Amino acid sequence: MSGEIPPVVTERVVGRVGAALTARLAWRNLRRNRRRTWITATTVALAVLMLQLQVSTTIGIERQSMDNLIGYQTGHAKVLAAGYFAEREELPLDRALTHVESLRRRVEAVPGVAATAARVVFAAQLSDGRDQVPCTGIGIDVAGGETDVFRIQQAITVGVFLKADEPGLLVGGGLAELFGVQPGGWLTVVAKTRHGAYEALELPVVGLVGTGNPDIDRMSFFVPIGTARRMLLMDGAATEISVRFGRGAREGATLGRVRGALAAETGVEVQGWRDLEQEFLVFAQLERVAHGIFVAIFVLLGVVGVANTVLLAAFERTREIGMLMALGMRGTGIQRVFILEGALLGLVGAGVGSLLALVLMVPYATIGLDLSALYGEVDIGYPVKDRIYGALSAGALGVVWLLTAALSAVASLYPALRASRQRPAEALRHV
Amino acid sequence: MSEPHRRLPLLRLAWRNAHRSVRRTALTASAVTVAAAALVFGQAYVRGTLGNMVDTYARTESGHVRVRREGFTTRERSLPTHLSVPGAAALARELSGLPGVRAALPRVRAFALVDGAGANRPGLLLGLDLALERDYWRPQAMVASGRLPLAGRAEVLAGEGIARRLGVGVGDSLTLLVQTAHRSLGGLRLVVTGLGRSGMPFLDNAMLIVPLDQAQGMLDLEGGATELLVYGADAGEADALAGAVRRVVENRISGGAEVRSWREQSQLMRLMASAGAAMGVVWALMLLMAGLVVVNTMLMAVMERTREFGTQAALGMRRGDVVRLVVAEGAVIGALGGAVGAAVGSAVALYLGRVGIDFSGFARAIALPFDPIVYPAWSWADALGSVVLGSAAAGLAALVPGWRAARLQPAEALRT
Repeated sequence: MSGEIPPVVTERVVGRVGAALTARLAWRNLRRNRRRTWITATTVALAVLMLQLQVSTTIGIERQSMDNLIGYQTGHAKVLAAGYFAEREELPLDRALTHVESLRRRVEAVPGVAATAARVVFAAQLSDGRDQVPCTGIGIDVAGGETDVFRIQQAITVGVFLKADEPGLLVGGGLAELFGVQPGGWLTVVAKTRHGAYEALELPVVGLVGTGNPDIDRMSFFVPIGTARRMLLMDGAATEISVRFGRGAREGATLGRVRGALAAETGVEVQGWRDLEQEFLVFAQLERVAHGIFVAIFVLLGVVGVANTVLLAAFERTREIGMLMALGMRGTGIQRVFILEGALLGLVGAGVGSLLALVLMVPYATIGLDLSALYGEVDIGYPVKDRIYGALSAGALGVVWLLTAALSAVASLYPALRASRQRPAEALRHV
Repeated sequence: MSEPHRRLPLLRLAWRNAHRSVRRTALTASAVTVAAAALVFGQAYVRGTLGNMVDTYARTESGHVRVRREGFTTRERSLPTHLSVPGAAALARELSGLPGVRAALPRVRAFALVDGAGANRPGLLLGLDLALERDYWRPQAMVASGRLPLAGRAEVLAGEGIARRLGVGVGDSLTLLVQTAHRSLGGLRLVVTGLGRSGMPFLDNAMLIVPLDQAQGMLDLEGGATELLVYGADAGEADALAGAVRRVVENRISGGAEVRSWREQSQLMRLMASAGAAMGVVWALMLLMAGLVVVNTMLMAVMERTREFGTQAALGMRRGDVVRLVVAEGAVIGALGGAVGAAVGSAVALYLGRVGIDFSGFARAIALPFDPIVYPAWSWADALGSVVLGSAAAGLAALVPGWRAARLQPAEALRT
């Protein structure tokens, strides 16, 4: 013999099944018992329908709430006097910003900042001569950026907006209802000046606002900043400078730049709206968990359905599996077929559920759901007005869809393992 | 010719059939188990949460029935002391004698301007009969440090929040300025005997608990109170109680009385109480999903037994009997799954019902009368109900495979 070993050209791994074949097998298996497939898919679809609607509602109502808070109350960030934030519930007038205009100019020069506005926020009592109600007064700079930062003007339900330095009151709708006052009526503002003396001022109501935010509608009134400064002896000072970021500006980065621009400034602190509204964010988190638990149970049931079906299929096909093994298919190959079967089942079911959800979500996102019809005049904890709109987010739809399919695949692990752990000879003998 | 009526031992047959393939039975039952466990725990949790809210609301705000002077509630936000219930103490004694009334408590609620250690701020003055309130507002449970004030003494239990802001502690004194029932200025100097923590931040930042007599004196109420809370044996019977109270109070209070049960007082509470009904929809959907899984597994069980059904049909078993048999099997499996699920759900609910679920981390964000620790309230009815419902859902679901089995032709079925 020449002793030459012929070169190995290809090596065919016995029993290795390609991905395409695995997919074809899984798909064919699903089609073999169509009724069962559809029943299982229906269970998954129901669960996914609930999940999608829940996700849509949560995203929608949170987006609306944040938009409301930013648009009426916090802006994207606030520049405050050092120490104000820690005492913010007291609305301390002695922690006020001086040289307001120069601060505003410096903040407005920061890239990403669209506008700034100075406000004087103060603790006050509103009185009609008979009843006296504690509330929050907000002095707004009508001529100096207020309307570029906040949308109070657009929320006027009756009457007109304040004019710069023309004494007048804009009252939250809930407060106005309490006093039974309309534009043209008069109310007395009682507040403590910066030096702690009480001061009262009678002002005409020029308009009412309805924002959906109970902090404003039930608790607040607006006056021109000049009126507030004179009454409270603030002398050109402000308790805060609210900052609105431009469209598309990255929130965290812009906040960082604003902080950077004022870093050298002692006696000043910058807070993002997420810090200012931490309580709301915690509340939203709680709601998410509370609702999530229920939806999770539905998804669990759907996934149990998938696991069930795949396990049934595994029992049913004992002979067939034995045959495939006898022909050289490996255990892992069998496992893959069954796992893929579960995944496909999840994909189909979740797909159907997502499509159904989409059909419902289009009107939900455009027409919305009238809350007052559902709940009446109840504060549901979210600062939203009258209607909630679901969010139509392709990303969320897709994530929920694929996640369900992935869960279905995970649920099929055990059935797949069962299927692959058979002895070919015994399996073949099985009736 | 008519055959004699034969009675099949349905349940025994069903039990035997369920036994034959233990793993398939387990599979069928698993979906019912999940649904039943969720139902038992979910019901306990919802009941615990709602009970917590209603109970806290009733103890601290609404009573089961609340008597106020007409017009007080519409101006509630200014707590108008001049709109008080005159002779509330005497009226309370009379109402306590009504059948089914556990307690009738006069309370005083008013705004006060509080001065202490150089700072001043608005506070909520609460005049409570500290002895009678032990089982209601439970002031003794709120004492975080120091002790409760004593009746007849100018003492106060201040909320931790307001005390911190005023810069006062136990042993310091406070001056309260109030508007009296005659709309004149009144005031009193009180010694802080303790600091209170209710778990509800909106209260802790404002409350000043003083003995009822001190509040009455300060506000010139002379035996009156701003409200009178009546408690019956059960919050569920508040509406009937309100009727009885109304009959007693009628024409006794000049200016008219406003008698309302807790349900009539708060839209939110009504909404919460109806949340139980909304949960019904959730449970129904869940059982539907469990039913669909049962349909699947039992269809397979039926197909596997085609020959057997053929034999039975050839021996003269009627179609109706076949359906009944399969349905009985479904019901038995459903009951098994339901029992396991109920046991799991009950175990979780009972455990958490003992240790409680702590929501204190979230309490700041909830401006509701709500005790931050929720105890799921497990009930026998839920556990039994979930077994029955699980059994019924699985039985209904088994109709589909049942019909399928009944439609088999004996000859064909035998041939397979």
